[in-house]
Amino acid sequence: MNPLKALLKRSMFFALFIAFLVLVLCMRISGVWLHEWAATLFILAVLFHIKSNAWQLGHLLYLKSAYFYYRAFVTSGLVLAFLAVSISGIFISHFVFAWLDLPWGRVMRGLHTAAAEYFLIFVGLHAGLYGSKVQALIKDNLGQAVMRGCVLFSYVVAAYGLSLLFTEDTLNKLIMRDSFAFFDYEAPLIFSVIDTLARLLGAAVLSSLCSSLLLGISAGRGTDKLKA
Amino acid sequence: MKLRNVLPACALAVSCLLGSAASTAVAADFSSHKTAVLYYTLAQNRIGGDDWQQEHPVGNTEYLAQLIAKDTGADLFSLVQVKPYPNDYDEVTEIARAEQQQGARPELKEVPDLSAYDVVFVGYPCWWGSYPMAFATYFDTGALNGKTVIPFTTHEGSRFGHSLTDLKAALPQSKVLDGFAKRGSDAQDEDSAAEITEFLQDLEL
Repeated sequence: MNPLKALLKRSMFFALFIAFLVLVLCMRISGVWLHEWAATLFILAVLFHIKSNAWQLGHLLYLKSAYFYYRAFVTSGLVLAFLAVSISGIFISHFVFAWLDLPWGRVMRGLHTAAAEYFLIFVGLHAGLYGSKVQALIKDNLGQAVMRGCVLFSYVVAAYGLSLLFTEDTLNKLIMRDSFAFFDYEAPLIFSVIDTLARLLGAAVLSSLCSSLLLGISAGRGTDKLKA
Repeated sequence: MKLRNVLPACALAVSCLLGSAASTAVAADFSSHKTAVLYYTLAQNRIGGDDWQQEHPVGNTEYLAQLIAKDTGADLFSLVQVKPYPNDYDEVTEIARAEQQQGARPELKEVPDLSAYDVVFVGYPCWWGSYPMAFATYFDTGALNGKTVIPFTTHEGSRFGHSLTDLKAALPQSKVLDGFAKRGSDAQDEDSAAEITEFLQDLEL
């Protein structure tokens, strides 16, 4: 397949993926009914994504190096968060899985809120593992100037996103103090989308920088061993 | 013009601006108003009690209402439904959600007469992003028309949710100000009194 076509095909899949994810995370846009249906379809998309990349799970610790330990940590965290948010979501469902009539309560609702926050963060960290690959793809297909522009734009948005992530609100969700998420109903809807995407990008850029650093450390140690 | 001459001038200008900005913000003076605090608390609207309720005889929203009344010299009023909610918190949330979806109007034991007041603090637990439907029953009477309404809420993460928007829609003839939100589980902490006082001092009536 033409490399540009392949890039476009993968880009479309991930653009849809992110659109689904935003629809799920920004309940202010979707409302509960659409949130549940989007989440159900998103689960199926994730399962397809896992199936397509299942071979990677067998090579999580391909090398015992800092980078691969980090990669394994991110992948494990992502899988756990995905399971927690999906299962707790099924428990507290009011529409799609309401017929199951599962007992829920404050704990399950708190777990869902926390797991959703962990999921958002780990999705960002996971995406960041492929930061260099995405940069290379953009550079090869669209040129270095475009790639640099994208990187600069990403850093600016990521800085804003990180300022939203490192807050007391996020901490309260992560430690299950919040049973309900806060949405600013006074602000325009698009702000919810921008904030969610910025937080994702913040985690992704952080992870990308972390990966590059750990890869460098791992490569350096490998070189030392070769020299020895 | 030398930089050493410009910088002090800028600093002076900035401080003048800040000073003038500070001097135009006037803290609320409740002595010139007839103030009431109208609140709804689950503790007064559910059957029986549980371990938590025995340890906390006063509901979270009621506790904040008492603090506000103490600071402002306001009179306290509460909304109590004819049919209370069950003792189980999860059942209550399900019923509350259904009531909100159906636009229910629970019957009130008494409709407080607030005609003598011009400022009313309205306090409620934030349920599914809005106020309990008992308040919808009260708002329908038009009792708060022409008054200044100051909301305060207890929540478990959602803060005001969309209740401020709902309040403004339900009370088109009232002036709804920005309110005070406090996590329910922290409402009866020691710092609540100081936070309430600070909120009241920052109010501009």
